[in-house]
Amino acid sequence: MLFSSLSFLFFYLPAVLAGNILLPLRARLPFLFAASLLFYGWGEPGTVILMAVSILANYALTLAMASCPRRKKALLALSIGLQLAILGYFKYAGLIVPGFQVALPVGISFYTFQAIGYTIDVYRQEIPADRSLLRYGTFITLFPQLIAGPIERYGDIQPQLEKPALSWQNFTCGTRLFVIGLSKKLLLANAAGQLWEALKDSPGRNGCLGNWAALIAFSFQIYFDFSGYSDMARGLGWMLGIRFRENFLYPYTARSVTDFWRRWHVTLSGWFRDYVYIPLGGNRRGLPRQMVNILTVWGLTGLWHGASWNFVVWGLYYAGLLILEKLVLLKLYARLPKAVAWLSRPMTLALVLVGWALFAFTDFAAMRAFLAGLASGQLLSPVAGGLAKAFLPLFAVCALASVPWRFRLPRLAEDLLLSALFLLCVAALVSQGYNPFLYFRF
Amino acid sequence: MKRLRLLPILFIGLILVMGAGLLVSPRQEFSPLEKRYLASPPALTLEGGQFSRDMEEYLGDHFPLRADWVGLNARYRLLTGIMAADSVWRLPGGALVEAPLGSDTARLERNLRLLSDFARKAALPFALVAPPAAGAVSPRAGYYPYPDEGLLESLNPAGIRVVPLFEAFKASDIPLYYRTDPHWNGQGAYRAYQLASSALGFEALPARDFTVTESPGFFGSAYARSGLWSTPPDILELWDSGAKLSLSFDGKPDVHDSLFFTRHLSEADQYPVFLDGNHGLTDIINHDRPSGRKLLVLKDSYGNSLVPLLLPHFDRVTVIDLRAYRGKLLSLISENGYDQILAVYALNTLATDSNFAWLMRGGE
Repeated sequence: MLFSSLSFLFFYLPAVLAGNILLPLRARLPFLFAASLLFYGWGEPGTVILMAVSILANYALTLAMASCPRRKKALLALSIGLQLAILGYFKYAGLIVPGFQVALPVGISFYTFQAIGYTIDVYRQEIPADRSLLRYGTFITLFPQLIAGPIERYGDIQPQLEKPALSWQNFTCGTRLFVIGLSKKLLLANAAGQLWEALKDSPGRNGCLGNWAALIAFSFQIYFDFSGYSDMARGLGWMLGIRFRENFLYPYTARSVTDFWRRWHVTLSGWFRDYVYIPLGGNRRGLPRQMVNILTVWGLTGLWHGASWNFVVWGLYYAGLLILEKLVLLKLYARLPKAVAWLSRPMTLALVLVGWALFAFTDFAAMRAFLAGLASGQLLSPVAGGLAKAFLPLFAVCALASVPWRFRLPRLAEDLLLSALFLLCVAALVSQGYNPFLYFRF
Repeated sequence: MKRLRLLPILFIGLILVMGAGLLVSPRQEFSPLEKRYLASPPALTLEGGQFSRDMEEYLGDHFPLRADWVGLNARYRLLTGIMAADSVWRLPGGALVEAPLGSDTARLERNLRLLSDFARKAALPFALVAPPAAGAVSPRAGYYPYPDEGLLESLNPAGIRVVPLFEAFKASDIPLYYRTDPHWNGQGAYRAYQLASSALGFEALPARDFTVTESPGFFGSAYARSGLWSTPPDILELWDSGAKLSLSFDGKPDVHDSLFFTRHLSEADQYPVFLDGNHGLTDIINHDRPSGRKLLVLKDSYGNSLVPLLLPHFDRVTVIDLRAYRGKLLSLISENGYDQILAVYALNTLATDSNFAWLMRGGE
């Protein structure tokens, strides 16, 4: 099911909220588990079986790890191997065996990572293996963050599953975040996506500015699509009395690429840091080893985003930039006189934009054509110019929504604004029909 | 008591009221406003999310106060400018027009080649009347530059006489298109008739020779797609030359004696009042026998309102819509001995339609 859908908003959500409030505490966990499975299996019930296998196997293996310390390492390897095998089969087999195709179960990249994180935490004895299958299952399937994160850690969620902080105040906070997220998705991301779709396949005819406008539109689309999803997830969490981590910290205001990755999809970068980069030795084994580690982590991060080589190129592009920043650029930025220190921001933004061009095209010929289009001799075609001009107000709103505001609206004004946005969201939903998220591919 | 805030109350209230409304409101099968059948309840299938997609479409179509929500969304898109990415938008002044053609002209070139080949094989004089998009000739085209001007001339299809419309349409001080529909109106069709007359070898009749019947309250297809419900309706004009005729469709025995099927004027979609909409083959015999000449018309729906103007100049007019006609066209020509071929296609159709391949059936 999708958050930005009529079935979710007008049937599923009120039913789940009512159940969560009315049911006695001990019935809430089974209710939440069942509701989450329904959410996941809605329309595609087959995928629930795969998820059940993953949950059962991991539950058994982590328990075995706790009861049989001598075989801990082997069990860890088995558990991780199994999760990666599932992910590999469904997501990457087509990359290695040409022509091979299976439907990608939605959210698989997110929940397998969450399961692997759990296994490693148990192995490291940071948390005990959960004896309750219900609780572990609920942690993996928890519907707000099941499909596109945030990627949570068991230690943070488990106590909240036991004792959710239900209150009117949290509910209020939740609706606020949810409406913000829904608006980002339906009013900003979808609209920006229309400009991108209209221009992306004709880079030779748009003119250089037209292509940049298209790329900016894509950057807004992917940011508001994904951060909108995270906001909605967090909002729903608040409504249920569960607090999820923030996933986006105004990434387009980053001062450097290093900074950008502390702000974009924070829970994924955190996962790779804790479970890959640091175990590989991080920055503790000398510079050459650190470079290798960065390349490994970013190659994998790229690959995680999709079973296509352009994502690897995109990941390695960032590895290169991060290494470059580490060796040269960050020192340079630090030495900039105060008056021009802000220059590092547009510089970073430009690098991120080019990154999105690598990200957006799975077909390398199309990618090359688009990159060439960014430096095209023609300045702006009339068609692209007309479209881009029409979208200027949207761009302005997107830009405003990408930066932290220094002031907070008075309560009533904020409520009125968000209520109006919610009405517009419903209007968009009723008019537009089906609304998949970009990040569901991953 | 903690301070109550507006947002969560409105949020929950709206969800509950609309959710309940979805459950209890009576089902409507057809939307006269949007001129389309609404989705039926989704069938339960297990494959690839089809069910959830169908469910969304169904809920959206039957949502309480749907027209108001769609209208709100359209207003929002209009005000913020993002309507420019939609297929229909509103020009300053209120006309609803279709978006311009994309910059890709491959299909247009292919279709013109097909028409050229067909003209050569048929070995008859071949004229093309291709009305530009309403937005292209409007002085208030807004954001978009339309590529229509000079487009056909630049492609210069061999063996086809392109009737130049653009300059004359652009210079007209009376509206030649409907406000709520992409088609040309009565005046537009008449202007095209005048401009095409020399290519078709007759002298155009003055407007006063036609009896014009007005039918107010016409909401066209652009209106239905726009969501801008407060746009006022157009007036449909039926231009009748008074020729005595008999008309039949697709070789069927039913014979009609008028080009206008007025029963459609009381339906949601009124445009089929001309020639009863799009039939594969419409055969019209003019019993006045004015010239001894026979005309073959290949057309999209723009042709439907032009044919009544052409009829007084020909003994027989056979109208073909390639989107529905599956007969052998070249055989039809050799059997009936036409003197002239006229193609009437909006540029938009020429640039997007994939049915021109049917032209060559039965040719070799």
